[in-house]
Amino acid sequence: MSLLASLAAAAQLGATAPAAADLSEARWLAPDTDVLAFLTEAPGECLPATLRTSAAAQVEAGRALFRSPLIFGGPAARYGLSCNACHRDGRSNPRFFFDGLSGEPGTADVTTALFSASREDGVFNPRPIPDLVGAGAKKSLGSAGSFHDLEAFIDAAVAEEFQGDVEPSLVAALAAYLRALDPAACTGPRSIGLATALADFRRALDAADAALARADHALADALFLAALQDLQRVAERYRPLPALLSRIHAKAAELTSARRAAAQSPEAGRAALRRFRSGLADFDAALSAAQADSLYDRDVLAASLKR
Amino acid sequence: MKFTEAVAAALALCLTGSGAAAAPSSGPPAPSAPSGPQVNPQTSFEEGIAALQAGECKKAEKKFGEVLSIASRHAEANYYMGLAKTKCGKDKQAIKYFERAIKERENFVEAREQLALASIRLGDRAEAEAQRDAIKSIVAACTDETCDAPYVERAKKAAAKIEEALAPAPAPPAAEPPADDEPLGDQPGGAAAAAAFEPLFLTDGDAGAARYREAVKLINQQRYAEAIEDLYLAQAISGPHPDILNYLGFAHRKLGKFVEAKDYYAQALAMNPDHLGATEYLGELYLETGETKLARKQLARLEKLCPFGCAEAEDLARLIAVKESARAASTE
Ligand code: HEC
Repeated sequence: MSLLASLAAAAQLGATAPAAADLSEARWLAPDTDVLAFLTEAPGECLPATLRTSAAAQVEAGRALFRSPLIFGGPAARYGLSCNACHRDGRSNPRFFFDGLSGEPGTADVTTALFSASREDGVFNPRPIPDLVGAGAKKSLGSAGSFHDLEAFIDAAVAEEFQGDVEPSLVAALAAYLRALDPAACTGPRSIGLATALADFRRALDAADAALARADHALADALFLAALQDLQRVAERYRPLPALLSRIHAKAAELTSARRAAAQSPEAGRAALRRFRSGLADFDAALSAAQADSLYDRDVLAASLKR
Repeated sequence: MKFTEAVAAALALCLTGSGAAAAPSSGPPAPSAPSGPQVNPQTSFEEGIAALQAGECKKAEKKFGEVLSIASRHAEANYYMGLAKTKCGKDKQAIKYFERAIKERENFVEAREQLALASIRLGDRAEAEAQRDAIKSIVAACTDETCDAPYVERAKKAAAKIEEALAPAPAPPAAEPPADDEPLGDQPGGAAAAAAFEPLFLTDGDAGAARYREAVKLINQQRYAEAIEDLYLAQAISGPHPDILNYLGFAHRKLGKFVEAKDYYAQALAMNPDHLGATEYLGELYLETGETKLARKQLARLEKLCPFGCAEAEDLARLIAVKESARAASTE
């Protein structure tokens, strides 16, 4: 970033600079975390680039849902917790910490009433958050070993631990995603930027379209919401740039209309999605042009974190 | 936990000047300018308690005045304001604040006790007797879990203290400072727009927030009466917060107390008009009272507040849809 650009960014940030906690990605962190490193680098996913086509749609749907807080209910959904918040990129998260839920950083008590309506076991028993690569092939899941079936485990996690509404097709998609994770496909640490965020967004939209093509209403609707949540994460990074922020909001409104159309009929929804996508290239370009002044930029982010 | 014990401890501090630990200092990092619009009610509340402990009645008055300018109906803040006034020798004013605390929470025995004592100092023995009798009948009438043994103990002590103060011949009325008749310190909605609230659920290392999370656990387990005790305690520790008021509304609604619930939602929304939870739950209340049109209005408001979708809007939309399809089925 140029000196002038950074001065301009600093001036704009003065008014609206978010605290680290304002980025929902940084919400569940141990106090001594290197927040800058956390927000600019992720562990890297272990998803093979080319999947058998029959499974690909399911896996992509599961991938988007894995990142969406809105598959949950209760406080988890309200405060932006997702599978991905704990299992970052489908891995673990050594920096995860939430007061009352975690013991050591990287652990969580998944049998507490803090998020759950039915799972309180009366004991504070945080467990290390496991890497999920290879979990799909396991014979028993969880440290109690009480689940022998991935679908049953996920169903219970969503419905009982996080008060979500579980539709079988959502559970199937999440399971397909986890089964597709492959130790041979791990990329190693990746950097987080506008490009990766927009890629997540587009993949969620593709998955929504594929679900509409199969007339799977519940899955499609959850994927529209997942895409909107992807867009929200982008918006958080553009908070210092009001003009782009309102552009992102306009896109969200357009996508919300497409969601409504899809609820009426899959065909109308797909048509609305196609129109939405035709405007995306311009949108992406505008965001890219300003990336250096957004919180995707390491220096801008670092300056905002210092405040 | 027992609300009654812990709250007794929290309330007692102001009288005895001990136990600073109950007044956590780590609030949200918003600046608190003394007279400007940037009041952070949590910070002011904590500073007010510290001032009371330090015997600085003037500062305490000012701080609780700030709190009340944002949350005029916060029971504890009114009570503490009454204490501050008493300490500054303004019993006549103090009485109004104690009355208001009692109006907000009938069974607030500490406020009744202080009201009685101040009344005696002003020569109004009848009021003190009325408060003593009120405390006795509250204890007699209360059977639910809000009246556990420690609460009853405190209530009895309060009644005994009033009795004791009533025993000697009435003292001549204390001379009141002339400037005593100022209006109550509340401009509902006045500074509210400027108050910044961190979600209490996400606040680390704060006793009030921890208590609030205990309440959330109880609510998740549908133990609403107990949750209400924890919520009262949370607000006694950390001052007014729309998240607490919202869950007070929620828990009262689940217990079928719609009038109280509505009132708590209104208080939460007065502090933060964009509060998602209170906007949602007020909509749910309207659904339960058959005012579907108003519920839909709440949904429209949520959709505006959540351009990227949010659980509050999703849940309310789902409940409205359920209600409407049930009605459609019943009219077929
Ligand atoms: C609050 C953090 C948290 C969230 C959110 C979370 N998990 Fe977990 N997950 C854990 C912890 C901790 C364990 C280990 C539990 C145990 O040892 O019993 C675990 C275990 C698992 C396992 C078993 C792995 C194994 O090897 O036995 C799977 C599968 C899993 N999670 C999937 C998910 C999915 C899918 C979601 C989203 C629906 C999710 N998790 C959300 C913390 C979380």
